[in-house]
Amino acid sequence: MIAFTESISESFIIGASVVAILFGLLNAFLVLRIKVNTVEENVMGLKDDRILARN
Amino acid sequence: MTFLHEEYTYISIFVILFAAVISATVEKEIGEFWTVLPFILGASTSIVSGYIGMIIAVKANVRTCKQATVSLHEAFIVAFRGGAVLGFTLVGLALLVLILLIILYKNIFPQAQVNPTDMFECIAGYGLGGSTIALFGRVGGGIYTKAADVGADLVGKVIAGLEEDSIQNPGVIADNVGDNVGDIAGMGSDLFGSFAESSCACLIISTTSHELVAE
Repeated sequence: MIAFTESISESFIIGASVVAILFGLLNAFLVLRIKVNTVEENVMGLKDDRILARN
Repeated sequence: MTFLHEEYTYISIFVILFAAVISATVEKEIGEFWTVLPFILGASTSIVSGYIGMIIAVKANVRTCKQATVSLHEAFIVAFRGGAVLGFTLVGLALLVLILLIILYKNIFPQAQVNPTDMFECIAGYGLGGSTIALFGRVGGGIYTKAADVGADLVGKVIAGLEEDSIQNPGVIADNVGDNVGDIAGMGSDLFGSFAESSCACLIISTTSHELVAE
């Protein structure tokens, strides 16, 4: 019974940690999908009109 | 990233030397290698935590600034998600490595042959490794950021008459790098060290429980 409970708890901890890592990666994806201009694009004024107008 | 890479190169040398000291001074009941292994793993996981924090912080900062031009709500969401990346990944990684380490040790050292307290005292090196990296990340990053901050302020504000954090002052870049290293990479390693140490302490205390030993 103790061995059974122990193996269940080990599996639970491994599963919880993997879910936490995946949730972190999901958040990373949600942050990284926002497109930002590179320095070159900003300097050349290729994409962001507001920065071009300000310059 | 360059500063972090350079800092971790020197810390790695220290970790190897410290591992040799641990190996030479540890009690020989379980073996030197099995005592040094959690220390190295803890230090490596702490370094990975620092890198993850640094990478996502730099990228989330830019995107938060961009979203702030849209609305405050959008900027808050991006900043919150950026923080969640480090939090979830760090805790998940620390827990995963620790439980895999425990499973490995339990299979290698059956309870009949090795006292569980001795086994978990070896695993406690995991927390020590994490704290070693956190110490250098916090202290090294703190000294660097303070030096860069004072240098940038002296040159920019006092001598050149520029505003605080002016884009015309190149020293501000070093100041911002120092802020990232000390407050994000250092904090990530520190958080990992605290987590690992408290978990290992609980494990050691739990092995002294009479009820568990009686089982």
